[in-house]
Amino acid sequence: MRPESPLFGDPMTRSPLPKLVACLAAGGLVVGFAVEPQRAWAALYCAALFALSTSLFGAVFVALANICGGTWHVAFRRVPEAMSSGIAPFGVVVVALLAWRTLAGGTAWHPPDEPGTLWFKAWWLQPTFMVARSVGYVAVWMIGATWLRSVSLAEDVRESRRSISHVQRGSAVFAALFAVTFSLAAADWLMALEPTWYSTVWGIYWFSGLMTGGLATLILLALSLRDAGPLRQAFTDEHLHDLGKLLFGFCCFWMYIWYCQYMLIWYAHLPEETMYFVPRLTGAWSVVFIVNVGLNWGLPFLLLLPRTSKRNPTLLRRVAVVVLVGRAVDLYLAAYPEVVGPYLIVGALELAAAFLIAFVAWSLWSRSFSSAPAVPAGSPLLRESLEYHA
Amino acid sequence: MNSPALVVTFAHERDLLEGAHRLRHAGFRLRDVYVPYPVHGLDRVLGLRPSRLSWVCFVCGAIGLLGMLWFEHWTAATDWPINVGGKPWNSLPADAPVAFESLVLLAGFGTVSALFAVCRLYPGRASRMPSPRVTDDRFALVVEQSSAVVNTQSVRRALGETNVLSIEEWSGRILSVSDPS
Repeated sequence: MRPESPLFGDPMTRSPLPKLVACLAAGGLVVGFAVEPQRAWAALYCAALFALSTSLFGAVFVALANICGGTWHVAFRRVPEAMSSGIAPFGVVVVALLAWRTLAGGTAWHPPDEPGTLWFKAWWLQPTFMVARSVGYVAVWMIGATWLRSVSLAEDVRESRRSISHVQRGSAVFAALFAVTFSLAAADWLMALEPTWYSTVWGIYWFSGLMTGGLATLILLALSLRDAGPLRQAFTDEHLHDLGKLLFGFCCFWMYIWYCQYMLIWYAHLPEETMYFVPRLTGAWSVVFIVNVGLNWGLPFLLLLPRTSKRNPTLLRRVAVVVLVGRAVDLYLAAYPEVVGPYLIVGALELAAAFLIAFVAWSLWSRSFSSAPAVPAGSPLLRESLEYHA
Repeated sequence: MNSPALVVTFAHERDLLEGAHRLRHAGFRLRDVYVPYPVHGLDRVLGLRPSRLSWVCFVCGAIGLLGMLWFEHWTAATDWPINVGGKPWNSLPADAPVAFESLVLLAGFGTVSALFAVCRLYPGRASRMPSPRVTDDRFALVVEQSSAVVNTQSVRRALGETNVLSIEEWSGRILSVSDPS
């Protein structure tokens, strides 16, 4: 018997409507693949990348907290852990889409006779090699997330508890592997959509996006779980305050990295570098370009600046939604001009992909969350987390 | 600052918090607290208003940002335009780093200066504390002695069960760092 979902316990799992809409969305995407394959591919690819990076955030967050010897997050640690359960399924979707485009889709990633080609890129972007190492990235993240989850569950029972330094060392190994694999994945999965273009800060840029999107999701999930019951006593305003601070900080970090990339390319004005920004600064795309900065940094920065707003669940929820929309716009702006064409288009296909992936993510995380005790009651660090004062 | 006061000394953080809570609810006016390290939740127990320092920080930062943007525009585009790599005279991307640094600089200096000014902290100022041990392992609460009703007995009564080390009158004595007491 499937355990009751505490998260969407009420409307989402019991009412058949979301499932029905998700089925319709899936059907729509199948039709989309037949009619407009490039656009359907891009829509699903962006949504799957979004969900994969948000799932990966769960493991990264827990690992970073472990490395720093953090205790404040223990009370709601099961939420990021549940998020990390999406790594394998969404990783499979991303790699499958990648393989479909490179191996079977007939669109070569990198025509070898293109001018300006570097011999290394031609070798590095061979379809088989690219898909093979993408599988490797996902495997590394999956193993790391599974290990983090298992030591966390083991902490509940005295006999199976591992020492803090053991967990710390393991988390550090995962963080180091994550840094390398995630940078490579960002380059392979997004930068290589335009194979002759390059930016060396690209990996960090997408890492900052992983953090903002992940934190916004974590805030939404934790607040929903507090309202729904499982975290009512555990997730305090102090925890919310710190998550708000982290969201504020990482939105500024995103802006910083965004600007570092843009300013250096603008200043040097090399054709092989500006080729990424020129189409995005002309016509309708230039509006999206500005909106992207406003949603990912402008609004969150202004709204989260006062102390009181970081302790206000209603406001923080709204900011989290703004940041999530900003993430979607950021991915859209990165992928669409290369894959679909030099025109702006948002319609049923994009909405269908977004809803389908969001529904799957919600169901996966919800199921994973309810498969373990909501609060790590046996953890020796729980008391400290509950009495935490921001 | 030399108005009469009572100093209530505690040995533990939780006693201090409990004592402050009781005294405040009994209607005593608390002038200040001396603690060896920042005690969480003390501001709430004392009923302190949120610090206005963040507004000083915001205003100073805004002055730094806008002032530097204006200055860069004036130097690079108005007073002495120089062609740098064919870029427009007034280029926001080029101005942003310096404007950002000046924002951080003015916000930082402004906040620290405002804090020192409000606390009247300047180099060479003699420290004023009830006992040197508040820099080590004692927690002292200074109660305003605004009327004769506020005396050692009434404070002790209001503190009830709280563990107190001592209640003494304080004339606001000034201690130099080397003071042996």
